[in-house]
Amino acid sequence: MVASSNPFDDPIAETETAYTEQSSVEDKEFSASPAEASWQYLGDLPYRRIPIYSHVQWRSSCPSSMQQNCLAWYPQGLSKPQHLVDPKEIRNWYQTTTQTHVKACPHGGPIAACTAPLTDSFRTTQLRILTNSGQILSQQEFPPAEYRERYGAVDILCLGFTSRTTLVVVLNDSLCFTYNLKGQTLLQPFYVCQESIPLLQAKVYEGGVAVLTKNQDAAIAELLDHHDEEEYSQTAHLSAQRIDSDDMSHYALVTILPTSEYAKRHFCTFSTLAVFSRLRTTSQHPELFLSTSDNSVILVEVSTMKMTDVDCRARVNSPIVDMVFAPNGRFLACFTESCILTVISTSFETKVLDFDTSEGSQQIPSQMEWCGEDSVVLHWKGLGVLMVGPYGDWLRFPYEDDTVYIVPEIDCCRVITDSAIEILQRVPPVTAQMLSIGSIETSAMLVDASDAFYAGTSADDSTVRDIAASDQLLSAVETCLEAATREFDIVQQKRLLRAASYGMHFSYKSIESKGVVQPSPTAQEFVAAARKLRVLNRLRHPNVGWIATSAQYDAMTPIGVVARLIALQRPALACSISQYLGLPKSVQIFARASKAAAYVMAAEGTDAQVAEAATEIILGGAGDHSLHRGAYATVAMAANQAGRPGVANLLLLLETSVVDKVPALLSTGAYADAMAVATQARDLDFIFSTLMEYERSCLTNSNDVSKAQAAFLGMVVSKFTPEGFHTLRRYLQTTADVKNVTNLLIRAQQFGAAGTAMAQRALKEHDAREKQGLLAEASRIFSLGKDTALHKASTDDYAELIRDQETLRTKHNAPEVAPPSSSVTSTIASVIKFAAIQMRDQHRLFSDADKLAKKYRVPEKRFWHIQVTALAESQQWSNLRILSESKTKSPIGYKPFARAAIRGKQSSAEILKYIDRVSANEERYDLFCEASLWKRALEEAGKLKDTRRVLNVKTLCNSNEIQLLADEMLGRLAQ
Amino acid sequence: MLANMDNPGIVADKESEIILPPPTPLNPLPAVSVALRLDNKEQLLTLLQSDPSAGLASSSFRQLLVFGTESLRTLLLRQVLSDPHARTFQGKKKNWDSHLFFPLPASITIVGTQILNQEHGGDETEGNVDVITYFLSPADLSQMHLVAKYIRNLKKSFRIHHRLIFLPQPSAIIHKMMKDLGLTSAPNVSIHRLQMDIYPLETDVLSIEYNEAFRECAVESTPSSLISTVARSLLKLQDVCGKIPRIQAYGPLGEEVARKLFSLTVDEYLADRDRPEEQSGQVISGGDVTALIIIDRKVDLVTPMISPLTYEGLLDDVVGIDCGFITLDVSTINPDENDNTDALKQDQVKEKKKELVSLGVNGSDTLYAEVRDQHVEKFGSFLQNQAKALRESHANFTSKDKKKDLAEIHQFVKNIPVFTQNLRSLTNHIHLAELVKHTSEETTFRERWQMERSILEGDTCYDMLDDLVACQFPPYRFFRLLCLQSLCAGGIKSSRYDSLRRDVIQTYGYEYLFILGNLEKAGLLRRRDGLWIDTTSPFNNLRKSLILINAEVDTVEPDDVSYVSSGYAPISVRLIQTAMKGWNGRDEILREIPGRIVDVEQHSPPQDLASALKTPPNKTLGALAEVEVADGVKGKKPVLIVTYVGGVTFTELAALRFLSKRPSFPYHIVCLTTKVMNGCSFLQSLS
Repeated sequence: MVASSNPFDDPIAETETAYTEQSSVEDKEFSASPAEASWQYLGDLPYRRIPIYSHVQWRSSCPSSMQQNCLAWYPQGLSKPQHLVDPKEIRNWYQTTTQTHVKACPHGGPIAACTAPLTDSFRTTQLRILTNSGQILSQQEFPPAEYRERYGAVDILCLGFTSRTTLVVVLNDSLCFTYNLKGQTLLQPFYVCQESIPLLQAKVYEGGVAVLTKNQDAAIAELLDHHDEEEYSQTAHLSAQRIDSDDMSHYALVTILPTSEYAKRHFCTFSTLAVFSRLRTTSQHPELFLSTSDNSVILVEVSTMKMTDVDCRARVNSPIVDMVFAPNGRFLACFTESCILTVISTSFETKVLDFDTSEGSQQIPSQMEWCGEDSVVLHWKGLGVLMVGPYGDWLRFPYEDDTVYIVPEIDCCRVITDSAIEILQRVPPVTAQMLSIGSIETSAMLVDASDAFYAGTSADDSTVRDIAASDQLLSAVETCLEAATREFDIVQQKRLLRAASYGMHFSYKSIESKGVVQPSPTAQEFVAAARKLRVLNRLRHPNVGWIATSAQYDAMTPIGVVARLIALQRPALACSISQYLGLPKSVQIFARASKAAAYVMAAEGTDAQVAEAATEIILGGAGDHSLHRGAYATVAMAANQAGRPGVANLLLLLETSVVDKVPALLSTGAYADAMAVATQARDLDFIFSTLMEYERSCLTNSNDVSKAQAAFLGMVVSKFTPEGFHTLRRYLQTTADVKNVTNLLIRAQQFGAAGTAMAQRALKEHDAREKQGLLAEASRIFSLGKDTALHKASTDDYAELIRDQETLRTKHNAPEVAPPSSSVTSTIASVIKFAAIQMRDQHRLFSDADKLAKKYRVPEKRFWHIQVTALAESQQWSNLRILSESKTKSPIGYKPFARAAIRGKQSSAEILKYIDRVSANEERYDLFCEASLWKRALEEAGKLKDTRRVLNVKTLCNSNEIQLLADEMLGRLAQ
Repeated sequence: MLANMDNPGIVADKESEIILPPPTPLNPLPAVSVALRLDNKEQLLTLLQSDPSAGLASSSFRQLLVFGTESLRTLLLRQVLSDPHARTFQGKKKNWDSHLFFPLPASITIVGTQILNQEHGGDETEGNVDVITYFLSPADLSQMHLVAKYIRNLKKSFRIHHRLIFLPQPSAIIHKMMKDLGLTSAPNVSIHRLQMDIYPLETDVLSIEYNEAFRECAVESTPSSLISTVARSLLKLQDVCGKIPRIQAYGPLGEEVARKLFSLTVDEYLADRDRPEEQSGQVISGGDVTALIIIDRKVDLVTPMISPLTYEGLLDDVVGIDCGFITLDVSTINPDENDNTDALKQDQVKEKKKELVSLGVNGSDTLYAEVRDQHVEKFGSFLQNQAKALRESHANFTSKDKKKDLAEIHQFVKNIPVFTQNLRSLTNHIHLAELVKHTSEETTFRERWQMERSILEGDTCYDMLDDLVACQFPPYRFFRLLCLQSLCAGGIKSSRYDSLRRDVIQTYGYEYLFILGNLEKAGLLRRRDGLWIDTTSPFNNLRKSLILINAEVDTVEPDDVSYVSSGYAPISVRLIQTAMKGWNGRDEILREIPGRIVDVEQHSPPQDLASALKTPPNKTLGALAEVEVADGVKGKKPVLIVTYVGGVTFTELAALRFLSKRPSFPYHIVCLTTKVMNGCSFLQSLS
């Protein structure tokens, strides 16, 4: 191991022991051999094949599978052709009658495999997700049971992974299934385009899937989740349809692109498609490339449906049959009908390469993929793999099996065969420089010197001293480190690390600042490289089976690695890696929560024990519960899924985050508790979603809708918080059927409120018959309540009033006599006012008004007020006078009369007639003022002996004469 | 999304130009209102500029704006989009905008604005609109039905994109309703949020514009949304002005808001898991604001029922101020002087010239700032004097007998814009003041005021209430008095109550039965069984212990907050005054206030309310201010934010400004409210 005085080596030594077991296994796995010996040159660039796992057993948990060792899977029932006895022939027969789809997650992730018959020779097949080392992550029969009637295995068109590790399976009629790495369905299967039209092609790309139908229409389904910004879906094309998953965490945006119109107009057909990911386009929405039968390519912008012909006819001489984008998105590899591989820039402006493959095969390759960013790999059945470099150089790799699957990666490609996985990679430049035969790079010399030193052959360190003297030592050390991280062989990794460490002995200087010794940057790099290697080696260990390269690791970021490990169901490893790398606390907590969830799923023991153990895992040594809010809820949900509600409840007691607690409580069925928590947290959205969730559960648990509704309402009334109840009431009030809300209120014995809801609906109703019905019902409900007597009486009165108004209108044959109104007063007033128009009927109208007043027991005083106001408003001044002079003395006095006259701008004489009948001096004074009869007002003030009133008159009257009088009076009063 | 990148301009440019004024009693936190204003404007502009259907800001599209309420239109277009404080007007006399004219930015193609509940001509818009943007309040569920109807009417054309903007955000109920109404499945309908939590209406008045506030908690019994909205707004406010060390809350809602605020603060703190470890137990310090008082409207229901007697209060009472604007007929402030003789002719003119105008009334108008809080007995003569002074200064200068040197002329010319601005404002306000005075001198107004006063002093005026119903007094004016009676006397006598209710229903209509019910639920109205003795209502006790009635107050040169209504001091303001001295030994007051009083300090790292309550602060608010003054710049008072949960009246605002200006009061006050309202709008919001 590395021998160094560097204190920062310590963590490595320490963790080395923790990983001993692992590295010893790997030591056996790889053998040390001169690296450069196996390099092959494509032009002058070295390429290497790195066997990662050989003798892989592609496992299947299904014992009936007939080909245990293969990625292909055939059902037992498939009849063996008796005439083929040679196992090789049988194999060949299978391969010609079925097609095995093998796709892998980018960045060295797991593999999905599925065999489909070319004819309908078997109905169902196995859809497996496996690690690179052949372990099963998930396995299920495909198509799922509920689709088996309509679909069989033969319908599988294509499958693939998106960059978010979603497995997409597309059937011939564009039905699309989505799974996560655990094999759980993410979105309910959906059609990408109209189901009746069969597909020509489907391609899964980084962000979803695109299809091309036989009638030349294209469609794209973008698979998005809560990590995508919400606005994105808002900016999609108007016709885009959004499909949400049940838990709203994932969604698909499906856009159907009417490319057939274009095809018709331009008399062409489309043969293949490729999707340019939205991360690379200027529109920030994906773009579709469709190759046409007239040697060109159509570019379709998904968000605007704009179609542009890129016109590359001059550069391509026959229709393109396959297109693949390079990992960096700058180049497009096209394979044309005339067997020419053309590499062209994505803008279609520069052609990089034309390579004729027709000499080798007249066929279209079974696979064409990029290997890193600078070569294209093609595979023909029976011919092996051809690699073509940027300058037209080529290499051929023979593979014994014909079952070769190529997975493109950002810096290499994975080649999967029936029994092995290897990486085909351009040798990283640093490695190439250093390890090529006869290299005179300083780093190569450093490695040699280090080798010699450790072999004990020579103690001559002059080479290193020379390098140190030329100031190139540090860069040599760094090159060694860099090269080490790119190696797969542990022996080689160690050799290079050792060389770096050896070199550092000659250069190491600690930087001192302010008395604190800082490690040099090189030392830090050393530690970082060693850590990265440790993680990578651990990931490549067959029991994890994740073959990420250093560049892929950097592209994913350590946090991404941890997240993927959790998705791969390796939470314990994720946990220790996040801790080992010192990742942000939030990541560590997430990893620990996942670990605890995994533990709970499998654990045995009493609820208390399991909960305690889970809590311990979550806490991970730090005792502060509040730091881990959210984690408990996650684990509790898992516990609930595993059928341990007891554990879930114990864990939820520790949860303090409402955002996480409410959904967890809902999932455990503790609706009342969820409501209590939501109410306490004052979160209306949670209150409402709890209600809806509970209603849904009531409806799904019972066959009888009305019973379920009753159970739901009963629980809301009896067990939920008042605010929960009222929120439901508010919501139900918005629904079309008033019964919804009254049912709830009646169940809660709130008859007043129930009747009110009914009556308010009646007020909005325009149809007279309906209105009466609603009012009668409201009245009935009011009669059930205790203190709703007034409500009932008023409701009945109102119903009666509407009828009376109707009668009046027919009787006088005029709508104005009693326009629809809910007020007794205004009805009486309108009757009286109508007398001004219909003079002949005055008496009848007045007696009608009288009758109304009596019928509705309008108190006498109020009736008088109504009469005065109505008469004045309709200018019936003579009638007003008659009223004032009637035999009965006015119960409201004559002030209202006077006021009405004043407001009606009647003559002073008329006004005075009324004022004279007012007895109180103060009132008279006020009335005189109001009528601007200043002189009389002044007199009144005099009688009252009130200087303030006199002064008031003086300021307001605006007349010299009265002002003089006022002064006079003031003088008198002052005496 | 992209709008931000393409258009960094508009707001950012102006930002550099803004020079903050120094803090004053009426503008204690200049940076806060400016920052909020800029933020709101930027959010709204970005939204208006972005095309929901394409996602690119550059493409031009025609847009129709539809608002849930008139108030919202005024708020967004007049307050947020164009700073009413900085607007200048063209023309000689003009100081207003035509009612339907909105100062919209030229860069956006807006074809028109509409109010949701009004009848609209769907067909005429159809041809030339690409996007219809709806601005809605999530609390008003009935708006959803109107929107659905609106969209259904236009359904024929699929080309129009409808975007529904919820301020501040759509709730789960809204989402469900959208689903029920079939709006979610339509591809051309999208939902957005506009997180503008606080609107600075004035430099010292910030509003959350939550119109349904009191109704939601008192009538509907679903206070959560209000509580979290207010708490979130307070959190945002603290983002701008720094954490507030001291918090007091009155009334049940006050405590709930404080609790939610504390728990949000804790959530926010804990959400940042990768923060550095902190030492515990320190009281927060160093913000711009020293203290926060949260008042539940329920603590003081009496004040909104009282008639205001300040200029602004009366103006609101007579004309109605909404979001800092009044809408009235142009002839009110710009009467045509030629034809005022012939009455008949005038009627014709009126019919012809019913042109509505919008006029901003806010503190940036220096004249208005001075006159707004003056008592009715003062502002008339004040305005006259102003006019006289203005005329004199003008006359002084133009008179030919005086000789002027060049410097004087220069000075005069420089002052001309200020002069004309003042003159315009003065003419407007003289006309408005006439209108207001006219109303306040009416007998009914006087009678109303006298009745209010006698109810406040403990009398019962059932007979007068009877008479008012009989005379068909405007219903909400009547309810104000009825509720006042109930609040002051601890309920309406049982026998009277039934007959009054019957009268109300018969007079105003059947629907008022339910309004009465709502008033009861809200605690504004109560039946009172006759067995009790009349003098022991909580209000009666408070009247004595808080000295609410001060009949001797000088209304012209006020010396007490009670000048705002000629002798009654708003309970909430008296509480603030008392809070300065602390609550020790004032149990007789605390007993009469609903809920308990919460008095806590914010610590770092944050705690929840329960643990914060365990360590009660040892200083009164007054003493705290003294410490601040001793530490800080001399002569600068610390700032207190008063939050009214459920709305604030102009009466209270005037009283708070009075306190803020007074040297004897230890704080400058900024008021945060859910809505600026008056008694009538308050009661209307409940029905």
